[in-house]
Amino acid sequence: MKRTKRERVRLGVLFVLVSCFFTVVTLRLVHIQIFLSKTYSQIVERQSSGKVAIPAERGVIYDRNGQLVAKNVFQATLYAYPDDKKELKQVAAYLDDLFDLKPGTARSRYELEVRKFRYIKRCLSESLEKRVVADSVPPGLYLRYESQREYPFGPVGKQILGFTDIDNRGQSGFELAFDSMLAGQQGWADIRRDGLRNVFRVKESALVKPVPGQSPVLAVDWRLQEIVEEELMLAVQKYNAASAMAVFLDCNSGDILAMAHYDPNENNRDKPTKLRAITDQFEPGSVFKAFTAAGLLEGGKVDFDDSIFCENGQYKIGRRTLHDDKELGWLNFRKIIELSSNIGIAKLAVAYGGEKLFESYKRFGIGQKLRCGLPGETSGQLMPPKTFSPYNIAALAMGHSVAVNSLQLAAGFAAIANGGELLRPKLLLGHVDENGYVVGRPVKDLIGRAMKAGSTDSLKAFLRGVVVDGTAKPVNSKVVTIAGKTGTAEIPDLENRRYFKNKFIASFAGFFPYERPVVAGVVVCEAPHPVTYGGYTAGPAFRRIAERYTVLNPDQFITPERLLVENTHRLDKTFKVPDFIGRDIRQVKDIAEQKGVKLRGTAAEGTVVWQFPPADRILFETDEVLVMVASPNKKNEFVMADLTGLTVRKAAALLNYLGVNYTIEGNGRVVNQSVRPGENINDNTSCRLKCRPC
Amino acid sequence: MKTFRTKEQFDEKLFFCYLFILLVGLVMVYSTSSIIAESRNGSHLYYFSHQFLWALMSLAVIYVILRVDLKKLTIYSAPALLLTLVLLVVVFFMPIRNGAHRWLVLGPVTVQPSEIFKFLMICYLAFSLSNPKRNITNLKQLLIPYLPLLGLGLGLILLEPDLGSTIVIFLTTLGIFFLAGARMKHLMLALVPQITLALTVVFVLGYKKARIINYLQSVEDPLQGSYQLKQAVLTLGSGGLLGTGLGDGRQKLFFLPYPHTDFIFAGIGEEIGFIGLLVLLSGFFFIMHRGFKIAAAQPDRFGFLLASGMTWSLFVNIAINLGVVTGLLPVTGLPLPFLSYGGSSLLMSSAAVGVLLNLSGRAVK
Repeated sequence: MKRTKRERVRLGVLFVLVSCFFTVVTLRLVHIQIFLSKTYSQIVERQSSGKVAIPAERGVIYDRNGQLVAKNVFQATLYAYPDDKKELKQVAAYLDDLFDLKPGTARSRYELEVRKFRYIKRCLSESLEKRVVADSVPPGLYLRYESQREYPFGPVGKQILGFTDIDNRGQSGFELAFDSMLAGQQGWADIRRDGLRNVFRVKESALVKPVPGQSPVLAVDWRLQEIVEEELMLAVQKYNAASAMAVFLDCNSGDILAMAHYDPNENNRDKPTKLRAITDQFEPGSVFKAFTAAGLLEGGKVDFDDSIFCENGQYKIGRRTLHDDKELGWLNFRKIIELSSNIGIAKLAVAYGGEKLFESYKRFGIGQKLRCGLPGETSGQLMPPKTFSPYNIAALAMGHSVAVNSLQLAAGFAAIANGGELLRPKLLLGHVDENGYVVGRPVKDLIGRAMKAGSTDSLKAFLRGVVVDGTAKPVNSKVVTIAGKTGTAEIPDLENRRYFKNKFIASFAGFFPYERPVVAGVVVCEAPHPVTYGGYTAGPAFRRIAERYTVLNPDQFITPERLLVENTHRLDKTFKVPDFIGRDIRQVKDIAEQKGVKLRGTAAEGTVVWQFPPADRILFETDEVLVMVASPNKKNEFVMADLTGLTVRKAAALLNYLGVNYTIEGNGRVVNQSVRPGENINDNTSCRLKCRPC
Repeated sequence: MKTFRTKEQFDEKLFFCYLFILLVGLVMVYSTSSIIAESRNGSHLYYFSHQFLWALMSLAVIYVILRVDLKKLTIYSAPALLLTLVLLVVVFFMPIRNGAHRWLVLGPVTVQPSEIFKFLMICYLAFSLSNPKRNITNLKQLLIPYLPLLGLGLGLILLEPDLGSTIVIFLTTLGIFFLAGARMKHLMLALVPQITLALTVVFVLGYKKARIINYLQSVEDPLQGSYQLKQAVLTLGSGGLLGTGLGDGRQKLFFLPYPHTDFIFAGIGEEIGFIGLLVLLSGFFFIMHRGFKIAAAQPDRFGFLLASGMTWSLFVNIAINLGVVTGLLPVTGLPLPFLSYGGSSLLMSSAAVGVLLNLSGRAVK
């Protein structure tokens, strides 16, 4: 029996409904899956893919000699990412053990959670890293290596370099000021992620490759920097000073060769936030008379033969009285500078006129920022007085009612030394490009002309006189001729709005060598006692720095042009000098060949007894290593080596070792030697070297 | 009248179609659930292995149903239904899962009594309405005893809360009454007040008004809809014509919610594309078609009501799920028969097919 008609009709109605529904759903799917497919696929792509940053390597920093002064090392970071509760337990237990914690504390201390990233410790110490590597750490705990800054010279030059934080971002000094240059640009990689925003796959190739940061070459000479820092410390100890600071510039290019301060009470020497040589300003005192003298000479108003009466040490000017340290009588201009007479300079300055003097100070960059590129540089203070009364003029001429920082003083003296050009102190010589060449040839940045070239010669002679028979006799050196000016200024007591009676800023600013100045600089001691004079505290420190730098660097004072940057050498084509001493020359030759080191020796057989440069020094590929070989049967007899083509410095080093007397004619490289190569050497041998710059 | 009452004879086409969809379901449950299973349960096979067991049990259930005389068994449907009502109460004493009291936890097995209630309700209605003494056109006879029974059951399910199942059961029974010959005005009486009440609640009292308005907008542009709906249509859309390939779906990576249960249709659509879905839809349609055909060929009113009731019930389930996934209906949590992960749903849908297969054996040739 078939169903009743009504049943069949009603069944049919439902079937029509079913058919309609399937038709509607199919059409809907056509719409979604065919017409909207492209749009929807893009949205899906967008929500399930993303980018992740790839860090760029921070640029390393070289000094002017190609020494690496800031580099990157990879340090281990321990982090936890437990996948489940079991892993979490194991990780917590392991950490309790690793850090000797009370069992059960690691979990809360490091806020460990399942599927949550937690740093446990960044920059693990070496011992801890070794232990973690040696223990097979439980799953959920991982090591990853992060790039961190390391400074091969330790604290030396740290005040200039500054430091970076744990994420390798510059926090102070050069690292901060040039952070964007050093940091480079991070790259990007494509990733896939799930709906819980977990990254689960990184595409093989980076979308945008990271651009490593540039590696700058600083103008600073780290050897001088080291000397300066050492001497400042010694000066503070020796002269009982509260602190000391110094700046040294290449007076012909404006390159900052060294900048430092030393304060025994400074905390956190590892992470200096301040470079007092550019941030701290002070009343310079007599050192400033050099600029006054420059102004007077520029004006052409002083007659060198005229004598000025220095009032025997007391001179009433306006309502105040000026004093000299000694009772000085009639002095000519030169003597006034040499003996630093306040009364003499005041009389000359008043006669010359305050406004003109004021203008000449401005030409020396006083009261303006020199913009050396480091953060925190101050401008000093040079305010025109309400009226240029005789006393105001006198005070200014003596270096009172004016404030400078050490960098300004050094730059001013550099201008005097180089013939009158005020150059911008330069920190950066260039950078090493991707091929390892140094690019960005240094151009000196002339701020303006401080004085005419003709006037500087007289002033330089005066300043030399200060050292030879003036207030700075202890600065006179047998090694290098120094010229400069001392300063001893009272320190203002800001609380009581007067000067401390027994606290002085002792300073010496100058340049060396006098005949052909290369370096200008200033050393400032804060509150030395009981000796307070600049000529007896800061001066000797200056002298020692100058002497040590000259001894260390004989070439530079002969051919200042020969600088790393001008030679555009490939920095990556350098080698570390191997230790040859004590080895057989044949073995040494093998090593040298292997490492691609050029050798210059004296004999075909024997043992190496001396080498220059010493082991571990970094040299360029084109440089040679000089070795001295002692023949096996005649231990103390040497033969002369071929010195032609060597730098004076190398040749001198060898001759010094042999104990040979020598004279040098010209400069540059050796072209001729009076003792032929191969000749035996005895105690009376004397050698004449002819040199030519090349 | 000639009937065949052989246990061996049944609608093979229906059975193979069912088997095909069941197998597709197993594969897709694995594909869509493996990552979630790995992440939540530590084994990528967690959901698949469960579903596999349920599938085996489903086949066993079908085998058993094929061997019984349904007409005799349905005598017990009334007491069984009463027992299920008790279970629906017991559910409230069970721990909450996913914010609802839907599951009866018996050791490792969890059962959804609402699914059993739905199944038994169809059996009971077929049994009861096929009683020749019952005059369905009489409103009084229509209301008693069905209204209290249905009202109580639906009320309990609604309280769980399980709006999806409530609607499915309501629409299923409505369909059966329609097939049984109830008067249209009586049926309207059941439908109109509900709809009026719902509209009043929503638009006058403002309860969930925003959600409804949002739904209406989302029918036009599904991306304006809820997160679940948005992800569902994105999943379907990114599948395109041919799909991303088996196992290569991206949306199951925690973008698409419930990719292996309520939204498995979208997950399948992403991997096998429009063409694949068309095959699946044809399968569903074929089951509907066979079901109605079996119903029409039944020798008695009981068989007719039971077969068409089961088919209709499957359809309502499928329709609401597909409607939700494709953004045609507002989101209600409801599994897709045969495909979604879940034992109760699979067992009861399979039982429905089993009943159809059983009845196909007694169809008039």
